[in-house]
Amino acid sequence: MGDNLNELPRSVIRIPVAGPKPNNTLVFVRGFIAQPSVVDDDLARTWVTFDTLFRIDGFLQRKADEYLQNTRISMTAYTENLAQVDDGAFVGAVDEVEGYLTNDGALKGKALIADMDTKVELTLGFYFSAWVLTYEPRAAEFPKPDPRKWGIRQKGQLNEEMSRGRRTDHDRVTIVKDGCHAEPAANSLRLEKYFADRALRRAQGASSTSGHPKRRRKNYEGEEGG
Amino acid sequence: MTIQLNRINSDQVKSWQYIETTLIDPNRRLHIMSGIAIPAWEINDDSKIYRDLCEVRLGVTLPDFIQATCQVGLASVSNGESSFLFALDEAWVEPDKTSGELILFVRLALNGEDSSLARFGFQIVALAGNRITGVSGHIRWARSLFDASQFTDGSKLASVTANLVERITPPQGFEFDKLTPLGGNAPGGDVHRDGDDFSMPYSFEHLPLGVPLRFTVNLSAGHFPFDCSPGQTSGPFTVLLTPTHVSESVDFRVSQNNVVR
Repeated sequence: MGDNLNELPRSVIRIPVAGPKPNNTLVFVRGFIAQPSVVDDDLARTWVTFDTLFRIDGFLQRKADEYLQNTRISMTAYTENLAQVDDGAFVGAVDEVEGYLTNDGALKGKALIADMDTKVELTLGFYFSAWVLTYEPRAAEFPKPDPRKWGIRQKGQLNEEMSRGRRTDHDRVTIVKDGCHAEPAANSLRLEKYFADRALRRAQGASSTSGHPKRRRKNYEGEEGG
Repeated sequence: MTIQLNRINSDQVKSWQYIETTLIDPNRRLHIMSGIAIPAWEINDDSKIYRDLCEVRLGVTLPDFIQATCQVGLASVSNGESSFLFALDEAWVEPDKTSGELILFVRLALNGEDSSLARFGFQIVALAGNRITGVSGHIRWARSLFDASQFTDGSKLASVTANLVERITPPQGFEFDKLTPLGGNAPGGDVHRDGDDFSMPYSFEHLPLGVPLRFTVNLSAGHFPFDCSPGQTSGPFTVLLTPTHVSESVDFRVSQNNVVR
């Protein structure tokens, strides 16, 4: 599995959920717990830490307490493979497992592995599956640029301004902010001119489509009508 | 013979971790339970395959249970140098018909000399409605009895235990109630000043339906005067939750040598 990006969509699934607040994301993660082969007559129990492919998007270290308080992890582990090269008594076990977050928002796990083998080499492998309930900022929650400063029009804003018969001046000038120059969007100006012309034509009693070459209606014989 | 395990017993289920989440659909909740069950099943015979059923009581009661899926896998096996077989043939989750508590059923199979199927891992995803069973309330005491102004965390002062009630009728003598803790105390919440009193909340969730329950308060040593005792001031003495009555409120008051009930 390792660090291959191809494995990510196969092993990590994010599901939007409603809570409990502030959590908004439920994540399923699966993966393997690497375990070396053993040849040991005595039963040995060892805590093994392992990486997972999941890392909290937008993790903020300064909010570590909140992640610790609210994030929930539910993890279990199973035997993935068990092999011997010859007859021999053996024990292969994952006795306990638990997940935890690292200081950079990654999910790691630790498992209590027990193994014993007499005479011959025992190969053991385990896999885990985990669910994580946590908070990840969503695209809609990122701060948006201020439309009053950057000439960006909100949906319906243009018609609202036109209907009130006033225009804002800030999108007619070059805006300087933090050393960056931003020209007002050319498309929005063209669109504004079109709407203004159309409103004028309507006021003069003209057809709403006759003045625009692309909107001229044609009759069923393909002749342009007035 | 069925192997019966209960997740509240850490000798029977390790690594228990439970997540409850509210979904975008406001009428449903998702419950996720993980752990490693310890059937500790051993045999010493490689001439035939032994089969058994393991029941794991999960301690989660969902009155509006809809659906559940589970995944299980071998976690701990051993063999004493013979042919062997370890198998988890079938697994499913069902609510108990009486109490509504979720139970994981796993069919096990085992073969071999000195063979053991000691543990298996499980993960359960259950879908249910919003209602959850529970009992909540407050523990109150007078400021003159114990000034808890220095405390905000009530868990250091007292906790509440939920007990199963069983009426015992001995052959001779009086009948009495035997209390068996359900496992896991509800620590007190934040301590609040309420006039001349202090109070702190507690709550239990996912209590079983259809079984009599009684709640007892345990005071931490070293805070309240030694001759204090808690008594119940409101709510039924024995609580019986049902599918139509899934929650109850029970309050207590700590007073000096004065048991209210």
